[in-house]
Amino acid sequence: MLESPTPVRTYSQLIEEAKRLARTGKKHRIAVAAAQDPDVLDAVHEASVEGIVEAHLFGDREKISAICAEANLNQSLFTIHGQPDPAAAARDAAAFADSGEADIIMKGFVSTSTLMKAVLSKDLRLRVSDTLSHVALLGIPGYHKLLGFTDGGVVVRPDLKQKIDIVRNYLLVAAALGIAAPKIALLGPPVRDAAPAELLADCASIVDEFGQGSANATAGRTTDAKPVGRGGMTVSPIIEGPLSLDCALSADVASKRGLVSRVCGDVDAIVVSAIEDCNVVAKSVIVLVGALFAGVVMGARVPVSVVSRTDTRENKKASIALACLVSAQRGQNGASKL
Amino acid sequence: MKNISQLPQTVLGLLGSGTLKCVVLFPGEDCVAALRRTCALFPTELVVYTRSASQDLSSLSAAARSFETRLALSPATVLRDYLTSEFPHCHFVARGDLLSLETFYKAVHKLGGDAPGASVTQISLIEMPPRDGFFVVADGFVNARPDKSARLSIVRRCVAVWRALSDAPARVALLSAVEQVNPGMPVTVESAEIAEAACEAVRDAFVQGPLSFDVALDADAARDKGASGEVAGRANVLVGNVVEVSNGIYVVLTMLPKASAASVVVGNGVPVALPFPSDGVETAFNSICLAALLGLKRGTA
Repeated sequence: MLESPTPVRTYSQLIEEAKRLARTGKKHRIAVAAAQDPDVLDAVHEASVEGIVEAHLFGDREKISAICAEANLNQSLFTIHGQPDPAAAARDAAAFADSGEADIIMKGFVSTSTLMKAVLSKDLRLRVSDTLSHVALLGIPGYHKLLGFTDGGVVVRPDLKQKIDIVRNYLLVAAALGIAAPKIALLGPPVRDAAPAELLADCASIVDEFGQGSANATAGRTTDAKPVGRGGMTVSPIIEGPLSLDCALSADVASKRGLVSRVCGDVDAIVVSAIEDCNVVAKSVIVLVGALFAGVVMGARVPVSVVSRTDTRENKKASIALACLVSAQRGQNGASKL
Repeated sequence: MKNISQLPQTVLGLLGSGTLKCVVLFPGEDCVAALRRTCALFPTELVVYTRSASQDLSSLSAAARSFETRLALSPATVLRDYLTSEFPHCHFVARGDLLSLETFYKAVHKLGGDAPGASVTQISLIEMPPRDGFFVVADGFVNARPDKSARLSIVRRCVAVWRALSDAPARVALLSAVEQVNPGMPVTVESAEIAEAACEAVRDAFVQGPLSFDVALDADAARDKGASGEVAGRANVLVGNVVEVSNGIYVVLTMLPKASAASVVVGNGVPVALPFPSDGVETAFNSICLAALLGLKRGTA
């Protein structure tokens, strides 16, 4: 069966692709941890109505029913697994996914750290990477495709090993989006002289680790370490850095500043060296420009969807759709290879 | 004033019947266009440093009240003189587009070693409709990794710039990924310490941190996340912990959705208009107006 090789570049393509997957029989089972959360229930309900997911709610049965009644949500779309304690509900949802009964875990009325603890539990086999990291996709007016931005949510100060894992985790998202040669910018200060020695060294090591993309990927990296994308493509990243954000976003600015680059102006993802660099900058376009945003936590065997109360309805839906795409690609990027 | 578009009329008000005195470092096409607009609005005396005697600047010399060119190969000494001089013979300096960011950065860093925070800071104004009015962001260029005392100096400089522009109290947010102080996130701990120190060290301003971007600027987010205080939800000055944060906000808002902006470098000497390579003529002009305004308020020249 041939899958469409066209990469997902926009918000609507992301939603469409999730719907297409559902139509072809790949409806994704989502396990919601502590589902007694009006915003999360609303988002899961909408995704269920659209046929994108099949929802299993772990949480306080009475509260869930009350929220459904109040918000006029069709409770019969959900399978409810009663567990009033949020931490226990998180453990139940994780165990459910671990046993292969769910493809996606979603955070409800439970703290991110409690949920992550449940996902990383040694009793389960959900942890496949040493590093869990958050990947954001931003739809910024004025940019020609969704812009990946990572990690603004989990790892505070990644060391070199964690940065490499963060890039790997992103590559799985790129694979799910169908981007064969994702262009990745390792973010640095506006001028190279301002970059600390450690950042320069880490960037050089990361570029080395992943080779220089499909054109000359002979050194440094073996093919079997590359994730497989939609339609069986091999994902070969093109990585450069440190790059300043102005150069990464514009080929004109890069050439004005004397930079020869294969990434600048067409970057698919920005990888940062500290949580604030991504979190603050991404929020600036979300808050002030209403940029579309989808996010997913990568590094576990199943994608973990974490939506925030302040996310718009549209953005929550996009996050669920993204988790579906990642999950659909999971079969071809088996845990053992990660 | 509340909007970046009010910069020119504010400069006119301060200038009265006087003449604006400007030193220009290595202008290219955009800078020349921005300066011609400046000369059309205000009587302006220009001293222009160039690397080549053959550069055609006739359109500028025709527009300026008075015009002088000086040949200089390196901007470092020139820049140093103006950024540190107590009584320079100009209101402000304009960075031209032929002076690279790299050279500018090196020159500024020769002034104050590795952490020039106490002496020199880059400050931007950004205005992104539909949000009404600009906010201040720093430091997006000079201080890449400011320590606590450097960040406190940056806060102080930002408050001075805000007060030069607005009668409303400065509300300074020390940006972080989250609002809670958490030992696992050093930036949150440091931001809380700076906020506390700022209570005594910075007058006429509210300083709060750590604050995430949404909680700092968005009243709804602040309410949703239960953040209280004088700054949460209504910040007008944002101070990042590292240059990638402050520069990132500037770049992502000005390059893609095309927010209005102005950018200056301020030190103990005269202010320098510092438009970035990604900025067009409009931002170069706004930056010149902002530097002129701050220079006129400084009251020398």
